[in-house]
Amino acid sequence: MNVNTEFSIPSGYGDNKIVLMVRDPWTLFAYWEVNKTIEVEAIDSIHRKGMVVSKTLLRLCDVTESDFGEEKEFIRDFELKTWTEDWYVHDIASGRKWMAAVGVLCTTGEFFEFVRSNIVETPLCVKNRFDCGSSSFGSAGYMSSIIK
Amino acid sequence: MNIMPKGYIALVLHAHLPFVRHPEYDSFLEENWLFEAITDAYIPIVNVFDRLTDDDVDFRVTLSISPTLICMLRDELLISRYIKHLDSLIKLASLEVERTAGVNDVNSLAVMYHKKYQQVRHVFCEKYECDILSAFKKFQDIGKIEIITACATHGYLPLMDQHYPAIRAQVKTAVDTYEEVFGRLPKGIWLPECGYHSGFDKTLKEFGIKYFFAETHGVLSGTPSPEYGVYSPYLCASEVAVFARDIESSKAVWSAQEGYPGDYRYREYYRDIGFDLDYDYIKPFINDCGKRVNTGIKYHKITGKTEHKDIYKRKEALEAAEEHATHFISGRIKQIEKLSLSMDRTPIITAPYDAELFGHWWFEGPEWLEILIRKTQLSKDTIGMITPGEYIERYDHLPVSTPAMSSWGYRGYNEVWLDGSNDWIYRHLHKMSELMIEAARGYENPTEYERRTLNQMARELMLAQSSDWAFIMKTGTFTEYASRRTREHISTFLTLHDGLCRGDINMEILKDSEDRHNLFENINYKVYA
Repeated sequence: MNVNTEFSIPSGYGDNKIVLMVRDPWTLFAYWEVNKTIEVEAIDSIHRKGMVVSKTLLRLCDVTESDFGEEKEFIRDFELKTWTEDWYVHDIASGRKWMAAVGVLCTTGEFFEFVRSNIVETPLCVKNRFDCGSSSFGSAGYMSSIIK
Repeated sequence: MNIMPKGYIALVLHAHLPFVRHPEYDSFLEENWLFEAITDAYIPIVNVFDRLTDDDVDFRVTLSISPTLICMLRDELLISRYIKHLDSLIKLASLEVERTAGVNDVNSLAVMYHKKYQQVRHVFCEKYECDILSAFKKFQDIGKIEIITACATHGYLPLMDQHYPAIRAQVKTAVDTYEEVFGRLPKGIWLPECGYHSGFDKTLKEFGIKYFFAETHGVLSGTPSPEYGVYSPYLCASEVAVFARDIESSKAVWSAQEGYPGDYRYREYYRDIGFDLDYDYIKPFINDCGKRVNTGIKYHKITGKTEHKDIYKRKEALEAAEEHATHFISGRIKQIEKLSLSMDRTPIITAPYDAELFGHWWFEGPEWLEILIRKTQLSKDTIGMITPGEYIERYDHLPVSTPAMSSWGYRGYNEVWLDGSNDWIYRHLHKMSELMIEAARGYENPTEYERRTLNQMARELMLAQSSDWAFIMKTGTFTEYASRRTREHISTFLTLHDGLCRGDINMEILKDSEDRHNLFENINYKVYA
């Protein structure tokens, strides 16, 4: 059987959204879909202001100190290549609140958001990453015992 | 007079398999997961409970049975296929008795398997009339075991928290399924993969659940700091209790390096006659597709880290089980002796394991379990067996602490179910949840066909959410099947949803998906509203 053709599923849903997920205290995963109409309109608007788009970014913000995600402490930008629709952000701090956005950076340094994510909180971990989690025994063993 | 022990052990067995049922094929390889689990683990565990009960042993075990497993164990098609599978196994074992005649060591094992499979058939078909759940219910009704539930399709909740109703639906459907089968509400729940995120306990509280389990570090990182470590349950903010997995007792069994199942005397899982014997001989007893598979008949012991494996010796394997049970219980007694000196409440050691480990992968696991339980009776003044439900009824004023996000997966968080091999599923699962919630809120008075469509959409969504598919994709075995199942449920859901929105429901697709994915007969889509 060919799993890729037997059941067709869409590559996108025409949405304009970005979802941020916690993988572990130090790693986030984001996936997004930018609605083409919104993107074109935003870029037209930027051009009308006489500005030039430099690159497309995923911007990660630490919003721990903000109740509504408005006061952002800028943390990190990731340049996105065409067709990139998801990203892992590694080596972030545990016990913080995070929000992400996809948008474009202009040559002036201004950032225009296409879409903004939900806010997530990484669990606080006081030890280092190799000590903090569970040990390797007993990890999801039931299927291991069946399918090994 | 009842002796009050210095501390307790709560043995917890978690029984779960994903929903695998393929009526569209005459036989289907992955249905063997259920058949092997019944033969190797569930019936042997029932036998252990029956022997202990017959001998009037005062034992307590907690058993979680996932709703997907419950549905499969009640399914007529799967039951009839299981009996056919078992009959084929009995025939193979019988041939093996003939084939190995004269080779004493091996022949005695062939005879052992032949007897075992005949006994399994008797217990399954005659003693419990093809209703293994009735056996577990019997033990619960006489107070020996406490059966709890797990999420409906074993959905991994921490990666589902974009949509609260999706979490609620996993819990409510589980509770409803449990009540249908066991005639009461479950006291506890096994959160799939021990996956906990702050606030889940409020949903459990809504459905009357009194307790759940969390991974060691999740509880130790709880707020406020847990004053008794992992040796007491804690009340979360919702007043639902959480029990933490004890590292020492887990390690004794699970550890790849030190765990009991790796002892050289135990049966080797990876040497099976399905692979070892001549193809033409074994062909009638493997899958219809002709692919070699494990049959369950294995003649070698672990021996050591060598390619060469010696013939399995049942007597020495049972001696190992006795040694390991003694070692385990003495370790727990030492823990309790030490804890009772420093704790001002009765300590409890929570030791959860997958039920399928016992008898399937660890062939001697059921014997170990039985010996362990019997030995516990000899030290009743120090260690008592208890269920979490009994503990929280007996000891009120539990300390307060809410665990941190955690799971029992590799490195303790969400990494197993969210990595490069499986992350593609989440944009679809989240979208399906969004559409399901919207549809559930939009159809107050649906027509019969709309209602059936909405209910089937709920089934397809939940099936797509099974943590098993992401896990299998990550482990790299059976990935094609896991990917196919995920795509199938997404595709079917979206087709049904599209028809619903357009007012043009495709009855052929609806009927086909209802027939194939027939779990949760009484599901009500309104659970997503």
